[in-house]
Amino acid sequence: VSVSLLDLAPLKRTVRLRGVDVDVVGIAAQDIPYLVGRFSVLGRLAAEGRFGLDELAAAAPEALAAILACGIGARGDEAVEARAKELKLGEQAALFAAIVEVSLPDGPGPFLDALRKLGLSLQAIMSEAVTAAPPSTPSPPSSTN
Amino acid sequence: LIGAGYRESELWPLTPRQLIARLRLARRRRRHELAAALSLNALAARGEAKELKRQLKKLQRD
Repeated sequence: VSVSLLDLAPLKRTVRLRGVDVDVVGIAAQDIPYLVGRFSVLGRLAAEGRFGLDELAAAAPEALAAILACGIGARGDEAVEARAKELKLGEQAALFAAIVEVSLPDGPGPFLDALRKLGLSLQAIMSEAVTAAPPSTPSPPSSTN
Repeated sequence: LIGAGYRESELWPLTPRQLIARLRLARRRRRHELAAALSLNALAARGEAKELKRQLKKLQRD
């Protein structure tokens, strides 16, 4: 399997929303236990392979807003999440597509496979994340950088 | 990846795309190392002193 230099390097995409350029840095590994620990529905959706925008928007709009915030480097920023939740579906879709492109261009499958090969699952990460970081105390974005 | 020499703190900020790429490289490197070890072990098992000496000299060359 070939490895592209582009897959090794950090990528950034810019999405223009309501006249403002938003830098998309993608979902980092550290965001995953945070998100899955905070929204257990994400572990369930991922396990069922239902990880598209439509599923997320329907089943877990708060989780989608948190994902969008993480994707622009604002993990746990409630103000950003609130604005992300207010975006129209098309706007959320543009942001979500850029986040997926930067973070998981082949979808979650290869990453979940890699976790499985390491004997991990999102459910296991979820239970550890719940123990390590209670959902009621999200980290402010400044503490993550 | 930690086994391949990465520090945990280096890995958490990476995206899954970057992690998968590093995992693939680490796996490829591990396979090459295993192939080299297998080749050397096979050579050593044959016990040909001249060939062993030649190989050692090659490996120790700066």
